[in-house]
Amino acid sequence: MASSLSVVGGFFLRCVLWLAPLLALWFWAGDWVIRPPTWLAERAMLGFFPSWVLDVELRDGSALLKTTFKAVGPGGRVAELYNAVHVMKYAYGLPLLLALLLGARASGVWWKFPLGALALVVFQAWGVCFEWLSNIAVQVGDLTRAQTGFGYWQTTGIVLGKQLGYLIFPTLVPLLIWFGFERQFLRSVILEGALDGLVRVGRVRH
Amino acid sequence: MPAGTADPSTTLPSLPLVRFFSIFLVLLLVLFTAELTHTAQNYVILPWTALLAKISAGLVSAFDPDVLAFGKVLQDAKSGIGVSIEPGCNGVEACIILLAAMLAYPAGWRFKLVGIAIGMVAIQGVNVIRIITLFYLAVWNTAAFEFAHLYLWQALIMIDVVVVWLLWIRWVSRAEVDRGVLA
Repeated sequence: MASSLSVVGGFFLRCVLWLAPLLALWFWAGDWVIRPPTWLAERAMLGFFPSWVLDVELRDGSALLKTTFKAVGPGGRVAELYNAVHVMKYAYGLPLLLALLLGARASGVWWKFPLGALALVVFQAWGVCFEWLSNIAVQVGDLTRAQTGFGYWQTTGIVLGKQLGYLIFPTLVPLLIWFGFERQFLRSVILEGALDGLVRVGRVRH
Repeated sequence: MPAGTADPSTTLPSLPLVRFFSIFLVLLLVLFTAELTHTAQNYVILPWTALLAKISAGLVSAFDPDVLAFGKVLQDAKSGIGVSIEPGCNGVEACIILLAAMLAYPAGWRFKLVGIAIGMVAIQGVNVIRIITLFYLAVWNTAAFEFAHLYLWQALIMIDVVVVWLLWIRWVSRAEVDRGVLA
């Protein structure tokens, strides 16, 4: 069994051992890590909804979307609606990707990781955008519908987009990127299994 | 180093990656969308989440009698601090990813069914450990709980999914040689 775990077991141990320090480093660098997805999310929102998006400001790790929406409170007081999203919860795929690459002892990590990180930014921005949109379309939908024009199907799509962006993309996308880079690793797992099978049926001798 | 008659690298089928990815992504989207429907939430997800809380509480109460479970909430009777098991914390999404990956992989149905059954147990087993550790972290320190909840355990569960999938692929490959499919 020790030999049967050599490829996968070694990969698992290296991944877990790398993940702890990489996650700590990533957390420490949080202020820088959240800038690229925040920038891209701002560009996307300004591009798609120029009529009601003003700009985005980073404040205490949160990306604050400023809009033209206003709420009228008691006594006729007018409040501007700002929309804050905690960006880090969409960005932990970065240390996960590096842990997977190092766990698989990938060659060319120096170019695979930056390229993968660049691809991750798109999905991180997706998560941020859809959380903003969900807050606007669902939580304060009554106040914003006249300006956004979001109907039932758009709101449903936004909710699905948010769930994908929060529950699936942050963990799945690093995995798919890793898999795309390290298909050879998968082949080595298949090969190891086949070799073990051949040993068992006596076609190959140790 | 093996010495013998066969070179397995020449007998292995090449993995049809485009087909695998296409099936995987379609299944993922279908299963994930189905999970979000009211029917699935009411009849599968919420009962499962409540059961998960009960299982976690049952395990913890074996050595800590101050733990209570009601619905999807796990609570410390002394401090009143509790954790609520929400979507993303019940391991369902991890199971969906594993299910889609196993169904998309070119293997026999018997392998797929066995892999799915064992894989779900493996993922939910780790998820119970996650819930219990998060519960105690919440009681101990909010910042540590937030870090482990939002980042550390999310990544660990996904590594768990990858490792279960790889072990299953390895087993499929070995079993197919046993059955004479590859050799």
